Amino acid sequence: MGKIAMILRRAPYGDINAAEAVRHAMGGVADDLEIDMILVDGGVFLAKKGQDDTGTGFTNLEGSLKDCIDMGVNVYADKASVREQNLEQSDLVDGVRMINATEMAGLVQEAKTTMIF
Amino acid sequence: MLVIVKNGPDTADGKRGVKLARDMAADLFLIQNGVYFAQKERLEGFCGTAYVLEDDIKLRGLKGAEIGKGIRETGYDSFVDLMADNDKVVGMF
Repeated sequence: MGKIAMILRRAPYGDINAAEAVRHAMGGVADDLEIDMILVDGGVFLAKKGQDDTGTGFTNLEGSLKDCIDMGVNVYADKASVREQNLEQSDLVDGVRMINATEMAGLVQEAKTTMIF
Repeated sequence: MLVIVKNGPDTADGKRGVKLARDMAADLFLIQNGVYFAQKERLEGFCGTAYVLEDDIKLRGLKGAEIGKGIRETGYDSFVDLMADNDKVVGMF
């Protein structure tokens, strides 16, 4: 089966999109699918370091994203979105690759299926 | 007047809530993804008082140094008090 691109546009915790993207990515990679997760707009906040869920009842999505990376999901962050959200590469968890719009288009073009969260 | 914003700066709702607070010289309470508005420079020139929910900034990995000057970090109790004390509460955007 071909590659799957997952585009996350929404910041984590405010709605279910980020949690669902991570869940699908984990499921896919566990089934030996090649997954590219692309973070754009508010979605780049998923990769923000230092998320602390203590006492909130939420699942820590930074931890889940790190698990995805360890399992082999390729995680990319759109450079322009990172800048727009007042972040820098050093604010993001290790293993997230910064890409520009052309590279992002290339990933979507390569993918057999693109899922948008 | 207190405007409550729960959506982030990347959404039309969030931007609308902050604009309303600016236009009406209201105070602003940022919760959920609305706390990203508390990042430095995002609320530049805001004349009212901006509050942000501590638990929600912590959950999203925002640290004190990343929060704009003058923005007050508060808990749920203060949130409830502010809603009770203000004559009008608008939200949530």
